[in-house]
Amino acid sequence: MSGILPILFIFVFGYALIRNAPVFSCFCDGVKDGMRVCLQIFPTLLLMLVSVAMFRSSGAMDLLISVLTPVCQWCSVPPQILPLALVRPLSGGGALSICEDLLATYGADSTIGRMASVLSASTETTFYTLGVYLPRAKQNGTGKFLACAVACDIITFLLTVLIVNVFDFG
Amino acid sequence: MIGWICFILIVSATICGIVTGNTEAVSEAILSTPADTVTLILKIGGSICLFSGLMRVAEASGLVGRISRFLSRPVERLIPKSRKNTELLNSVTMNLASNFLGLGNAATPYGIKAAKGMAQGEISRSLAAFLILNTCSLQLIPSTICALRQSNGSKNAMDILPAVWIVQFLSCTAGILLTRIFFRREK
Repeated sequence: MSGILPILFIFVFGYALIRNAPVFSCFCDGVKDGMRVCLQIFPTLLLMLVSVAMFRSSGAMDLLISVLTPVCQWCSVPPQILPLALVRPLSGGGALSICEDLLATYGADSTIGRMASVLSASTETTFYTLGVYLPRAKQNGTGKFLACAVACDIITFLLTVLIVNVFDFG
Repeated sequence: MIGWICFILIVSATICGIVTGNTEAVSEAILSTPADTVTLILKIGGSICLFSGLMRVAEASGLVGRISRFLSRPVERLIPKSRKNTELLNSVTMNLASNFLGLGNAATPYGIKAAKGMAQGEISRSLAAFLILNTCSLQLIPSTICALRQSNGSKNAMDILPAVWIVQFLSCTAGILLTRIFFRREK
C-alpha cells in the first residue's frame, strides 16, 4: 500500500504535463483552497475538541462506555467507537475531533484506532449532504429517504467492525 | 445541531465532574485543549493543502473528466433518469468523480445541479440512488484521516486503505439496494 502515494503523484503530474495543463498555478490554487478548508473546520474542531476533552476528563466518557458495554459485547463492537458512529452523520468537524481523541487515546494502529479511521473514511456527513442537495421545497418521500440513509449508515458501521476484525485477525 | 451536541457534552461533563470531584481535571481540559487544537490543525493542515493542490491539478488536466466518462455506463444503470439526458448524466458523473478524488468543493455544484435536474415533486428512485451515493463516501484516498493517523504515530497510515475500499463498496451496494426496495421503479 505504501507505493500508492508516489505513483498517484507521478500519474497526476505526468498526465497534467502531457496535457499541457498549467500544473504549478493549479497546484497553488488548490493549496489555497486547502488553507481555506483548514480555516473553515477550525472553529468546529476547537469547540468539539474542548467539549470532548471535558467529557472525557470528567469521567463521563467512562460512565457512558460502561453503560454501552453490555449492549455492544454480543456483537463484538468496542463501545468506545459508538460516540464516533453517533456524531459522524451529523458533523464532519465533530467526528474528526472524536476520531483524533480515539487515535490519541488508544493508538492509531490499535483495533479501535483502525475502526475509527475506517469508519471516518467510509461515511459522509449524511445530514449535511442532504441539507445541501435536497431542495428546500417539501418533497414527498423525504422521510422514506432519510430512513434509507440512516439504515445505510448503520450498515456501514457494522461492516466497518466486521471488516477490521477480519483484517486484524485473518 | 453541533451547538446542542457540545452543550450536552459540556453539561454532562460539568455535572459528572462535580459529582465525582473531578472539576480540576475538567478545568485543565478547557485550558489545555485549545493549544492541542492549533497543533492538530498545523499537523494535518499541510496534508489537506497538499492533496487539495494535487487534486486541483487532476481536475485541470481533464483527469476528472476522463474518470467521469468512464463512470457513465454504470451510472446510466444506477440512475435511470440519466439515460436520455446527457446534461444530467454529465453533472452526476462529474459529481461522483470529484468526490472519488476527494474534491468535495468541486463536487458540490455538480451535485446541486444534478439533484435539481432530478427533483420533480417526489423523490424518485434516481434521485434516491444519487443521494445515497453521496451520503456513502466514495473516496480513493481519504487523505485527512491518513494525515490524522500519521500525526498519531501510525506505523503505516495508509494500511487501512484496503479495508476502507471494501467497506465503501459494500456500503454503497447496500445503499443502492435499500433505495431499490424503498422507491418504486420508474417508467
